[in-house]
Amino acid sequence: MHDRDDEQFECYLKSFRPVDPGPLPFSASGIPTSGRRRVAFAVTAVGCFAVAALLLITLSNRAPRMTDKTLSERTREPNQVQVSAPALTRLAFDDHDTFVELISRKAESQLPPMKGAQSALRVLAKE
Amino acid sequence: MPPSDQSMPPVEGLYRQYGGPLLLFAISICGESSRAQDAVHHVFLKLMETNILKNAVDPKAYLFASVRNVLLNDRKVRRRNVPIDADRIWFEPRERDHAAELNLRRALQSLPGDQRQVVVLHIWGELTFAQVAEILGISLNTVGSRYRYALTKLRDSMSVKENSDA
Repeated sequence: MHDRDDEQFECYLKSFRPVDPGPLPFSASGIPTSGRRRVAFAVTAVGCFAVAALLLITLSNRAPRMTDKTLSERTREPNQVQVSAPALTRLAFDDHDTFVELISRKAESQLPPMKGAQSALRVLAKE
Repeated sequence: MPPSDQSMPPVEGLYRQYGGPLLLFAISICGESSRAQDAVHHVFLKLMETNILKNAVDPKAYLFASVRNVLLNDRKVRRRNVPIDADRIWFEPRERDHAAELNLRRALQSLPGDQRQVVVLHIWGELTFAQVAEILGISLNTVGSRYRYALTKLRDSMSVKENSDA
């Protein structure tokens, strides 16, 4: 049971107003966002960026590089036959026409083109 | 789920109306102003997202119980008689009477946590003893006895300090 003193003391206590907790944290769009959400969003964004960068680096490392070896393999014709020097000598003696044809084909594949506006002969002649 | 436009004004109104007493109640539980403020903000932001308050029978008591639950989820706060942050003011100084505010704050700090919570809920939360009993999960008689003890201690403590200041 409250006596008069208690009631007066209660009124005195009630005359003190508790401080307000400050404004609620809102985002610019009006959607409430707590600090935890912002941190989670930032962490997710950084994680996605890191994964993307890692993938990019991995893929670029896996792409074939143009080394001298691969270049020579690419330029080599698949049906090209490697003939040794003694065999060529024998062919020159036995079948001259075939030898000339073989040498011509080899020269076409290994030397720059001799025909056309940008042929090696024309360029050299201009100089 | 984003908050609907219809739910925003009532929740903001409740925040303006009960924000101060809720903050004071939170401080009386955890002892830290910043942690208490986070708890109050957490409750209201959650309300805006879920709009669960419309289903509550007693919205005011629900708010106080929610703040208490948020704080009690923290293991550090579960300890009884947590140290109170004495640096931040708890009340708007009445007629710029900072000494009276400090006097009241110190008197409240000197109370045991259980009694302090009952006083805060009844005086500044303007809750009935039945509501206080429901929120704190204690009997009506316990609320009454804690309140009487607390009021006596507060009065003694404040009168002693006022006499010593004078």
